[in-house]
Amino acid sequence: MTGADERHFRGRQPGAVNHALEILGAIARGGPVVTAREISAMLHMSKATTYRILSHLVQEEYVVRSPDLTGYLLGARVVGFAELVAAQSVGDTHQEESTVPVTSSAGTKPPPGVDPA
Amino acid sequence: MSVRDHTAPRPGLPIGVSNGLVGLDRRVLPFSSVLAQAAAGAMPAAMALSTPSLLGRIVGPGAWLSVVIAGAVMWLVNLTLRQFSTRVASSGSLFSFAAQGLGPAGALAVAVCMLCAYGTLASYGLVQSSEYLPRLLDPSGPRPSVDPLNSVLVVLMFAALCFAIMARGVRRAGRFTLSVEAITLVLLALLLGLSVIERGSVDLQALSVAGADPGRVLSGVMAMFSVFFCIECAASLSAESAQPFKSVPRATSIATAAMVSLCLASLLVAAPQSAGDAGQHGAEHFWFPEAEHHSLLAFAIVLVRLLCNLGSVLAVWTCLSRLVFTCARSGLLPARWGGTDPSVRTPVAALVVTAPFVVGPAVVLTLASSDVRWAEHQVLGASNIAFFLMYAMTCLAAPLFLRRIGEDLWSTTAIAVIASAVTSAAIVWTVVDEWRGGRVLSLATIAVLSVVVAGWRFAVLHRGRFGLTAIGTHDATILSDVHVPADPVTREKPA
Repeated sequence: MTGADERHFRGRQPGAVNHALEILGAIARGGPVVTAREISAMLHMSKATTYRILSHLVQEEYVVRSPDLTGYLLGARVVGFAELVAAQSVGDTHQEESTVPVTSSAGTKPPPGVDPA
Repeated sequence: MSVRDHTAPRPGLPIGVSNGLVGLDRRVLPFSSVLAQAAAGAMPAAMALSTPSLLGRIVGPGAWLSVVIAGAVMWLVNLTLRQFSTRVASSGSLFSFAAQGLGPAGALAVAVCMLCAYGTLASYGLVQSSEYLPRLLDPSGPRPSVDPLNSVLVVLMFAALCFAIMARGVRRAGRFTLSVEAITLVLLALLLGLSVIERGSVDLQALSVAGADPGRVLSGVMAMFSVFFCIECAASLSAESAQPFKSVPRATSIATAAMVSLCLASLLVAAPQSAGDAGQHGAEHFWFPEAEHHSLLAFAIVLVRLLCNLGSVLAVWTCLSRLVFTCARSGLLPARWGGTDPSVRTPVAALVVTAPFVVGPAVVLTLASSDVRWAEHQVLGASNIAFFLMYAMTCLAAPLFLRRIGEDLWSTTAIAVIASAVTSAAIVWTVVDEWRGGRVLSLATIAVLSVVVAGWRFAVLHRGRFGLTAIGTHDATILSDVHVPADPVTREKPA
């Protein structure tokens, strides 16, 4: 996303959604386990905002805490999206050979809230 | 590389295929069942029916202030507990929370307080249920004189019923508790509505501060604290809740807000100035002084109280069993007490172990009858102190826990410190009140509990009994919960 696109996005969408996506990206890029303070520093976001959004993402299971409770990892709901995207890529390569929906061809279950159709 | 390989766990990550609470029916309970558990512990319908007469006796004018002040303090406690319940899913509830911030000694003290407080509350619920059941036959008549042995049979019957419901699994127990709470709240709404119709209007004078005495309002605050106890009940079902970090804090907040709202509503509907009538003529005359069909209304009132007590026993006994289960899994109690039934995935061993602590005192109190009913009040006094202690210690643990995981904020620290300070002040108030009232049994109970904590701590930490593993074992993240990115160096694109 370019700077102009980002400004456009910020201008039209609620800031919290943008922050949540940035946090998800930071966790994905940050390695296996990232702490809330690292995320806050990485994104130049206030600690209170970071904790609040992380808490919401944990509640919705997009993010989970590490067993010692100090860090965060991407959660099972994100895995569902990742598998769908990966399966979509696999499906694209065989597009001319098969018209079966990618969710079925990959044998994966769609994440909660995602319509398999 | 297959699609699955991109989500494979990274070697070396401390995430296992299961956690210390394996065996429980993990992540299955819907929000409605978690909310029912929170409500059942706090008994909103029964407490709303009792509050006007209780505060009428203790406070008089300005009684609503007691509800608001106690509600505000409990809201601070709720906000502090929220710091844990949005981060830690554990069956141990406050014990597991305290362990995260205070370490083994604090966790043990909270565990003993919980055993005392929940055990007393469950016993009291059984005794109350045995008293209300025969009154259903003649609800508007005088309190029937029942042979103590028959009462004991009723206590045992209710205990067996609760045990059977819980032993059939948390999902069935959750649905049963939800049904009970729904019935009591519908009946409460009907009773309050009928009362408003009979009186013709709501008495807004109940919201006046004219004639309010600060000392009596403060006494009312202390009484209301005991009404609001057990708001944390839902935390015991964290590991079994489908969305623990969402359902548990939400259920606790709703239960707290509902308790305050319903108590205020009942104060508005029933003018507390007329509270003196309650003791002389019974609850139905208090709520419906002009009604012609007292027996039907009285039946509804007794039924609400009976069902609320039954729901409370279920909720509190569930908390107790999950606490013993977690302690056993942490190595604080014999490991076999942490066993679960593989078919229903419920800690049946902990249910069996806790049964004597729930049923025993109830049987003793019932056999002792009204002659030594003072013992019941004294034990409840000890239970109050235990509740305050566990709230104060858990609130104190919150900022320490947040600091440990690097998520502390000055606002959350301030709220936790205020909540801890107020509940600590409540401990002092209760102890002084018990001492002045000559209720030494409650103070003796607390002394015995302190000795138990010291002995337990010595046995576990110094003598290594039971094979201590990790105090405050919680429902830690397992492999099926996570997406761990593959090593960027070896990452391959899908073919």
